[in-house]
Amino acid sequence: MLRHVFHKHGYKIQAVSITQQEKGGVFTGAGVEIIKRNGGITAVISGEIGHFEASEIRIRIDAELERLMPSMLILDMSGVSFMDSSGIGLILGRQRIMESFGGGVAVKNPSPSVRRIIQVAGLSRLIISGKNTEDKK
Amino acid sequence: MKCENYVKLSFPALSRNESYARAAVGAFVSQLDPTVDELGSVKAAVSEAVTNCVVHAYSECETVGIINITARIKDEEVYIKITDKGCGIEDVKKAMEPLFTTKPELERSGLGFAVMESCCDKVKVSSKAGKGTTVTLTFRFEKRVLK
Repeated sequence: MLRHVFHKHGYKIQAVSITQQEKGGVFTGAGVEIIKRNGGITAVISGEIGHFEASEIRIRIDAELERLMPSMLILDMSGVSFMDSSGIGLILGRQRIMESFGGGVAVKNPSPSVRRIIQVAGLSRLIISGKNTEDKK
Repeated sequence: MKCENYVKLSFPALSRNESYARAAVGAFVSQLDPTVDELGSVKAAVSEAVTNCVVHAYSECETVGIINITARIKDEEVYIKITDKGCGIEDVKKAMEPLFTTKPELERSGLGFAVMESCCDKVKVSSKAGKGTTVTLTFRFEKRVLK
């Protein structure tokens, strides 16, 4: 479902998903927007990432990975209010896919509580701050 | 008049109820004026325990079973008991090992208990194969002077 096309920081950004996903007639409360930029993609995730929400987020992201095979996948978590180990499964699963074609994964701007879960999983090395990604442009 | 405060929740082990469970327990615990971090820890630990019930407890059953939660506040301590009457865990020690999962195909990371342990002051698991599992989470909140 096409949400809209808009301009941000002078780049043309296409949001190809809608922020509220439905699953079996029930709102999962999580959303994904995919932003394409310089051969990489950023998945802007919002809401909560639990077991129920993760599967919908996974489907949305994987559809884009399969289609675009980007060199880099950035999971922008600045809008994620809650995450449990299901989010770790989500990160590791995407990392596996990205590595299969030589790409990488980074997690951008997690909140302190999300960051803690990532640290428990020993994945702190994947965290980047928003400032760094702006530099990469 | 003194009364120990508690809530009891009972709901079918459906994935869509996971967010309700963590939000409801979080709302109950909020009366202790937890910090954002403390509240996040409670929600994460409850979410892990409930998700375990949804993913594992009744996976071999034809009908969806029930998850019961009792959250109890005693002084500055919170006890949260999450119970199912599902398949039980044969080897609790093994199940609690970080990265151990029986459902890698569902992208379960095997970190559920590791997250619970990092969030709680105490995690107790009692389980009987074929009978069910009870996870008891204990949190100690620092005493705060309410203005």
